[in-house]
Amino acid sequence: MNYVLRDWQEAMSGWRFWLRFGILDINLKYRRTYLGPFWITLSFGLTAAGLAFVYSTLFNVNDDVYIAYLVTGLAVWMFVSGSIVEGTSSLMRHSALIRESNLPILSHAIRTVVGGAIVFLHNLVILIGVMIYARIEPTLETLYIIPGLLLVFMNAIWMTLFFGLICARYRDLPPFVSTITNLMFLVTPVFWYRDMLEGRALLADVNPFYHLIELVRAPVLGAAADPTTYIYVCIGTVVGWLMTYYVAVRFQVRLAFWI
Amino acid sequence: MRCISVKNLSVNYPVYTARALSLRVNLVRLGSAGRFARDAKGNAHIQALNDLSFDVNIGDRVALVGRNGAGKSTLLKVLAGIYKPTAGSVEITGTTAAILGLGIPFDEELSGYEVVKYAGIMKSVDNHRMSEVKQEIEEFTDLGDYLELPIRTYSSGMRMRLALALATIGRPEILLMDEGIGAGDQFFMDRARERSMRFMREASAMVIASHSEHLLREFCNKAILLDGGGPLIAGDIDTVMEAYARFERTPSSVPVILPGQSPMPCTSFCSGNEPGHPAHNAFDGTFFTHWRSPAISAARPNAHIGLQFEEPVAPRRVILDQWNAELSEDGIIRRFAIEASNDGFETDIRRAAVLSASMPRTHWNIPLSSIGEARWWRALALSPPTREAAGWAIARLEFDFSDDQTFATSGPISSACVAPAYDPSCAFFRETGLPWVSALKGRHVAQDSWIGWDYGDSRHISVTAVEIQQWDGGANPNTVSTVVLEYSFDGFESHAEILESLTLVRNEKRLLLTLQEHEIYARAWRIRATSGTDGGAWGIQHLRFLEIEELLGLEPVPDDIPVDNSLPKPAPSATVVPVTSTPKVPASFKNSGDCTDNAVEENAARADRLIDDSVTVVQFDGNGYRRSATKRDGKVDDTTLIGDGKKRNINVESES
Repeated sequence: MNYVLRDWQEAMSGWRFWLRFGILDINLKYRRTYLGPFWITLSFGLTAAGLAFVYSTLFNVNDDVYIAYLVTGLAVWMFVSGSIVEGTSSLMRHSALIRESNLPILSHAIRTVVGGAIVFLHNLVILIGVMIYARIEPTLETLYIIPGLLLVFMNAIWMTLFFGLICARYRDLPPFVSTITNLMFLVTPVFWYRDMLEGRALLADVNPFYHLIELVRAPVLGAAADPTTYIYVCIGTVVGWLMTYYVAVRFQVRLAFWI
Repeated sequence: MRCISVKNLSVNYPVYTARALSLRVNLVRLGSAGRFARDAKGNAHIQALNDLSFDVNIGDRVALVGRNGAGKSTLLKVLAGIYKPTAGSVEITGTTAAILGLGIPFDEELSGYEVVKYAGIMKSVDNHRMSEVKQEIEEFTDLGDYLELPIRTYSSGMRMRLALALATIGRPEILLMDEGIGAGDQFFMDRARERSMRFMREASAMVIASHSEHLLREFCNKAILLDGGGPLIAGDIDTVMEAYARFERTPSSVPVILPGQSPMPCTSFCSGNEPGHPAHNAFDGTFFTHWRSPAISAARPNAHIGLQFEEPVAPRRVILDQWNAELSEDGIIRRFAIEASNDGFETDIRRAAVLSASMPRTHWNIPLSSIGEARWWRALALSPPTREAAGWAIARLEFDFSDDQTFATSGPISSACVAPAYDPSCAFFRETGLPWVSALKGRHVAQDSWIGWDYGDSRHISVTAVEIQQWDGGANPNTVSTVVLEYSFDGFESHAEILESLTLVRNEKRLLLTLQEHEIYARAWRIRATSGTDGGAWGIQHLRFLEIEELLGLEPVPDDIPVDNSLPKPAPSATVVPVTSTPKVPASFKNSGDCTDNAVEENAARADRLIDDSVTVVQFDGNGYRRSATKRDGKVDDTTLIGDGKKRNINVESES
């Protein structure tokens, strides 16, 4: 077993570290605030309300389901794009630990994802509120949200590690990656429907962000996502992890020297 | 039982600058079809560890010693699993704990207790042991209620106490420690020591890097002396510390290969002090027997390596590599010599050669059969300084003693294994311009220093005054135990004269003018001075030839002088027969080239025709000895052979 696989195995068995430190990171962010992590919920609620108001007017949709569509999409988008943008600095931020301890590299990436996941869970409060408001009744198909979320997490982890590694090596990448990610927000069906693209639906169909969002959004709205979405994401997960493995083999061995 | 096994470990790490780190440079490289490859790819590399092998068994307490930059911290980081080896392998059996620095890698907002909690999580301390650890830390740090406050409110002393407490959480089997404890108030220092010591005692094996000899001697039973990333000597603590003390004050540098630069020598490079050697058997009582200078990164125009043994041994071979940056140019190892000595001062040259080869030939493997035994060996190779600018140098010099049969019969050899602290920049140079001051001044001070001057084949010089100055860091006065003047008629076979031992006052220059008694004309001269080893910071700072006289008018002897070992070696304190000479000998003497007595006499006879006065003709023979013929009263009456300290009268009539 090579050192990358061993690193990953050790990261898994050392789950206590990344779980506790991931929670700690979020706690620290809101330490000495009055509302604490509730700020996450609050700020997301305000953002969602604002966007829902503006876009329902803009697109002229008076559908309550649209609001649920937008809020779910936004929550997943924020988690996934957050994993990438945070991922770019996930290893650089912990350079002191990397230089002075032999903690597995992957655990630093998961620690970052755990932070994002906690934010995501806080946002779920708003999501549930919106579901009640839109009178979406949970069905059995809503349970598809669980495999959906698992797949999203799996992808978030490799993205964080992948971008963490290459961004530690090439310091030009973080601003580039965040610019591209912001751009992707515009071409991803978050506050508009895929069908609105009409003849250009392909633009959404090849967009991995669209599929990741669909994994969660479709069950929330009451139906499992399209089977092609599951196939696309499963293949994407495998390819993503293989890519990350390749990058880790290339870069990880000397990471402690140049981080 | 073995718990750490390191085999041929090398660590070579890149130093990425902002330029090298950026993607643009790599993209440029892709797009430019290799045109910028050298620039874009050429990151600076540091050879931090170089071919290091050793084992640590349970119960071993290993000290890592060496100067700053020798590779101690890198080695500890590799053992701790932070750095990965570039080549070779590291196997560790057991849990390790590394105390590499006293930082607290947590957010400033965390309270002391939280820091303890999270450090516990990081080090996988069990939950049920956590309360025990907490209590221990409360007692040790003595921070009281401060532990409830965020660590940003701590003073630096409090921070350090907490950091040390955190570093010593847990019960590791193998302890890796860098530098140990820093500064602090006395009360705390005592307790810090106590805690570290408990930690050290409980570990089943330990590797510790420190500059504190006291600490190392107290806790370690074995030691490795590192230099330039390679092991210099490994063995029991006393042997290594002794070697380290002698070695410490010589200059050093980690070879850094910079992009776009030819790996030329650093000015502070001292070849005699930077050998690497395999240390596989370092801990089983036998010592390495194979030295080599560092590889191409350390190429230099002069290189020498040497070894000192407690009993006489014979080297088996010497290996020379030349390095040439411009492949079109031929390289020449100008000279090569093997020096042997039984007392460390009086040396004789057992082999000497002028090597030259056209470019494809860059490697010489010279077997040294029937070279005889000696306690003190040195291999010296010189390339012409004029070639330095052209990027040419000696890349590797290897001196091989590993003749198994010799060792099998004579038993294991223990040696101090420290090369003489010669400064290679003071090795033989051929240049004009006099007098010449040793380059030691201002750069470093050596305990054993020498300067030498080779005036070339066709010049014959007598040194009539030398100057010596000592430097000391406080202890004063000190004794320069020996000043030796060595001269050679052929550049290899040397004759030594011990001048005197001196007591010098601090920074005083001392002239030695006793040489005027001698009228010795030789092509190569060197003065060597040795100061005592009292452990203080002092040494010889300055050596200088003040006055020289030149004997003009002789033709050069051929470069390639075979050395005849059958000739008697000069005795240590041989009285050299003075040769009367006049500097007005005409330049038109015939040089027959074969240096027979006849040729000498012939020249003397010609001198007779040109000059009326008595004259002595001096000429070199094929054995590296000087012959002279003296003409008195219009008649050549004798020839004299100088070199073995004996005067020989040769009957001219019977010779002709």
